[in-house]
Amino acid sequence: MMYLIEPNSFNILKKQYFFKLKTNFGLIFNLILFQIFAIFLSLVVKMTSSSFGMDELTFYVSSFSGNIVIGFTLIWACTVPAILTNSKIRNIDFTFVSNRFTSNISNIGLLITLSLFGSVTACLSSNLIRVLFYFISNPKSIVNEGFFVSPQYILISIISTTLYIILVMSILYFLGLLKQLTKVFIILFFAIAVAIILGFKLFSSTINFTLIDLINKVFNFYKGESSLVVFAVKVLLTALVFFSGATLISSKLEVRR
Amino acid sequence: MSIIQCTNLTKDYGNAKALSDLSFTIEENTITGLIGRNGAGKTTLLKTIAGFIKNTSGEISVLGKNPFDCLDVSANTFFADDNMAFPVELTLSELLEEISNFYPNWDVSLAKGLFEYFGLNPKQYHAGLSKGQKSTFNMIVALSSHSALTIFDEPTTGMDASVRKDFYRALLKDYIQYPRTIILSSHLLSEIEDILENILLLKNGTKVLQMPVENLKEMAIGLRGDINSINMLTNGKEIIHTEKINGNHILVVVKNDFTETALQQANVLGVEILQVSADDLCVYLTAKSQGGIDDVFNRAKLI
Repeated sequence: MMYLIEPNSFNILKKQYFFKLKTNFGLIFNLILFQIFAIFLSLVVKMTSSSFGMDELTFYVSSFSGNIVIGFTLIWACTVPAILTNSKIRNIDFTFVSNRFTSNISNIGLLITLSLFGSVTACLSSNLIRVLFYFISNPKSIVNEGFFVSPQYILISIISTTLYIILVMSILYFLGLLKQLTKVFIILFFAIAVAIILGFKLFSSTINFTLIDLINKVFNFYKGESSLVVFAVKVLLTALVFFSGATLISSKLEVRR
Repeated sequence: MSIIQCTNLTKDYGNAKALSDLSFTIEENTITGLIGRNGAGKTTLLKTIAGFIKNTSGEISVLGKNPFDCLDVSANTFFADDNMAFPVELTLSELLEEISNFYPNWDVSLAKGLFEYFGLNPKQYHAGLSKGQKSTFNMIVALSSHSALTIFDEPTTGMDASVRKDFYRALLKDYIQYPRTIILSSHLLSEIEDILENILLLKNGTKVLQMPVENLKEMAIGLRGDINSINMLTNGKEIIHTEKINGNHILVVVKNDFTETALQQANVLGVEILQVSADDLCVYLTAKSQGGIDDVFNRAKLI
């Protein structure tokens, strides 16, 4: 008799997590491509360009920022859960030792790790943009203000960007599994969205509240938060709801077909 | 101790029943062949045992637990089929290394030995392998995992004749060295009957029989001769298969519970007594309708 193995969930989780880190290297490669493209774009496209002059003197002011890189990182973040929830990729877990709980938790672990990686590289790339800009333009014409960034500022931007990425990924991970459950849910999802939009179009005048107001309210709930701690709690709680929802959905799916 | 226990196991896909009221047990440290025609429910049963599919009703217990989504069962089971998904980023040798982390019983030297013997390229990617090579690689992984329960669903898909032979030999040798429970599914019994101990025959999701292969080989005999003599001999017996040969001559496959004298009587009547191979018997037992493919053509001629 082969001796029976008594697996420990935490141990299997750890193995799965590192296995996924290794085997999803392509995702990091994609991220780097997205970010290189965004850095290039940041240097070429002047975010806000204005000129003003008085008499014989004319100033041209161009400002640069790393926001494009963060934007592209968020777009990349949208693609990741779609890949992980694809049934072909989910099946890989079940080629080896796994159950749905460890599979989901190791996926969530991977998503959080990738969020952190994406955020750190995105935030540091704004420094790279500054350095590149320094070399390609006349250093004397650079306005010092905002050119040097304090480590505290970078740390705060890394934390908040990580939280944004986690938020995006948790929502899309949830939707990705919902799609696997049944196509009916996708139709239902769009039906609800259309119903909300139509509802607002019809009744916005009577209730004095438009769809834009609602969207603004939702965005402000996160974006308008000035305290980093409260913001973190809000985002993490939202992500927890979506990740739990995703785990719940996957319990409705067959383990592997 | 029985490793697998099923009682009235049923699995529905919508209106279609893939498994219906299936009851059987599989003892530990045996090699069982799961035989049945296309659509008999072999894969559904194996996936239910492996914990991938949830049964609609009935009971199933694997290693004393309900296998569905169960980590304990997953850790002690290896399920190999040609739909196994592997990550595309790793080469075969990297894959072997990663897989070995999941299985404490992993046999490094067996994996390495088989890998070299079958001439697989360690730098290749799984997606680039041919159908037969994929089956070979899956087989190497399944054998090397030394899991207490190893399940092969149609393991030889795409393998050429010599690789098939080598595979069965490797399976048997490793099984003798490290006894464990192995289930092999196939629709070609003739190929695997030499390594099997038990056989579980399925038809339309139900169990036709479960017995040692030796018993199956002796279960039935064929009688060939004049229709009247055969009718006399087989009166009251369980007829498994009837085939018209020509004119008044027929071949009847019947359960072998003849006495010595009855067989002598058959000889006197000029009825030939034939052995029925286990493979043919399974085909007769799982026949979808009376008659054979010949009847389809004969009927066509009449019209």
